[in-house]
Amino acid sequence: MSLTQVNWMALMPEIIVLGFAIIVLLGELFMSASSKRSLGIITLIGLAAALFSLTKLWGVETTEFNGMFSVDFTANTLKAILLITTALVVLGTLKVKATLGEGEFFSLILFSVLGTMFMASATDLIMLFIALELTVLPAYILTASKKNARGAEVALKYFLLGMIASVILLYGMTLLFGLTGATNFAAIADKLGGGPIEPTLIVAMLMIMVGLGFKVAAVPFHFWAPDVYEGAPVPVASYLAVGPKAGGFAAIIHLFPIALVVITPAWAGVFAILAVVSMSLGNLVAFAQTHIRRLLGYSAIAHTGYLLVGLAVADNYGYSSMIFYFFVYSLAALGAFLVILATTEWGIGEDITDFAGLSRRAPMLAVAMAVFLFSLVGLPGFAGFMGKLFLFSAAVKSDLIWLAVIGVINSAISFGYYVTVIRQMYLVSPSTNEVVSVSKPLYFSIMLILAAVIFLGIYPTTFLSIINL
Amino acid sequence: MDVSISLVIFLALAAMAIISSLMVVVGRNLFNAAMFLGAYLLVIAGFYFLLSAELVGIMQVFVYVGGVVVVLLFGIMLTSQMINVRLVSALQQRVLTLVVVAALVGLLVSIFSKTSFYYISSAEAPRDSISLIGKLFMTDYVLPFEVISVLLLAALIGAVIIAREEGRQ
Repeated sequence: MSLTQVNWMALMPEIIVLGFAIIVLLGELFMSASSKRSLGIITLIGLAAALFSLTKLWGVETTEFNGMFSVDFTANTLKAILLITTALVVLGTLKVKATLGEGEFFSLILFSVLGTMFMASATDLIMLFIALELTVLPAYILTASKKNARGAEVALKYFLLGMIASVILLYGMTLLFGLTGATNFAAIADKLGGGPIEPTLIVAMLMIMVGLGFKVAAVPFHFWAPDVYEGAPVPVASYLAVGPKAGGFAAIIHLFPIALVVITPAWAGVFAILAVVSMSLGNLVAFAQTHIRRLLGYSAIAHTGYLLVGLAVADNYGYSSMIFYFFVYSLAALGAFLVILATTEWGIGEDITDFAGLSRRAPMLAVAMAVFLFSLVGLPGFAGFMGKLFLFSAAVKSDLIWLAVIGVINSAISFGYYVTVIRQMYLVSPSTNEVVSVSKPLYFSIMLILAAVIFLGIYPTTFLSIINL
Repeated sequence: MDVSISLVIFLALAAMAIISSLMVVVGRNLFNAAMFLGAYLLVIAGFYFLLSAELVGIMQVFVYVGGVVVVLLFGIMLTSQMINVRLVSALQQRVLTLVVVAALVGLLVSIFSKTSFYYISSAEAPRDSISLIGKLFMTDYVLPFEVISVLLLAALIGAVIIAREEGRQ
């Protein structure tokens, strides 16, 4: 294979993101302090350009670099979701005082996005592992950017647990390589097919699950998530709530159904168990939380549980429902984080009681927060409802009725802790009547997400037809 | 190489690897632990040479023994309070640790003894593996190779950000 045989168009979104990451980084070095404000705009342009070039690849199915890099429907959809949500994060943080230089912050985010995009397209163990490291390494750095004791503790915890997960993942991958002598997913499936199922294969599968389960914060590999969501700077936490998670799910969707197709019942069963414990533990522990971002951290764990239902179903309908739910979940979670960003920028604390009377101090923020929380619960009329509807109906269709029932019960339970936030905002009177003002880009970003959550709740068909559900 | 000789070398290396890595974990002195870590990493390089993967073996010595362990030792020496500290916090949950380790070892031994791994004959090892690896890096594996360079760039930026004092931008 020579480089001229590569269809570089297939990598165009990645190349654009890489190019802009380097431009933004050089901008930090050479631009004056006042003109550095435009670096956020440049980042947005880069993300928009990558999204545009991605639309050119819509419907294309191809693999490049000897089957290492696959352009397919799942990869494209997850990349699009990732680019859109990251653009909303960048838009929201345009006027926010960062703990880092603008160039460093935005270029690290772009590097992490690049890693996640490669992860979504990886169909080779080597490529997958490197892409995963590229996704999480900037995340560790961003978490460590606030240099107080709490920030350092959280970053170190995230880094150490992340490294252990990576090592276990790598161990699983080497076992898989030892069994098959191949790193390409399709080649692994070829070698595994026909032969007897070795116990080593099950151990390799479990180790890979531990590694990737950590990245998506599934119970029992979830310890880092509430700490990081609480302790990282708010703009960073908003990105972490969506970005690296998309990569983890993309990797799972590619690796398990393709490479490990011979043991589908085994991994589907384990994912079903992980789904149940993640949902239940995430929701129950969320009740005890008084810090809003910690609450969202446990809610994120519960949502990982809902998403894993799509993997337990283990068919295309399940994966599509999972991708749709991932999109609506990340919109709502991101929106909630951006509202928190708006209130903390104004100097409001992050305990749930600090949200008292927000409806009088910032009516639109309170409405937006309420809608995002309702969408996370899955109330009819909001995007989250449609997402859960498809996800649980996928479970019912595959005779996993018990899983759907547990999911529905959990959604009902989750209403209890989301509503405490809404109660504080609407029914408790504020300690001060000072009006909260929000920077224009952040306000615009929150309103865009609000519109999307309501729109997808009422007319999901437009998006569903895109993802062939 | 004769199979029995390579088996003897393998067993000797394996014993050294197990002993030195145990010393890293149970040792109470940080400096000693770092030295044993260096020894362990050298033994791993020995495994690579035994498998006729010379380039990987040399890189192991360069990067891990020559780089990582030396930086680790510098770190210990420059933070003066750490040299003679007895690490007391380690192994608080001794029983639990032993159970988990025993279970993991038992699991791995039981699966390894039953599994027939994909077998690549050592006779097929190419004589000139370095130039072959170089060619593969620039052809079949060019994409991971390039992505690693991006990863290193991100790591470099991160090192600067973390090492820098707050407030200086």
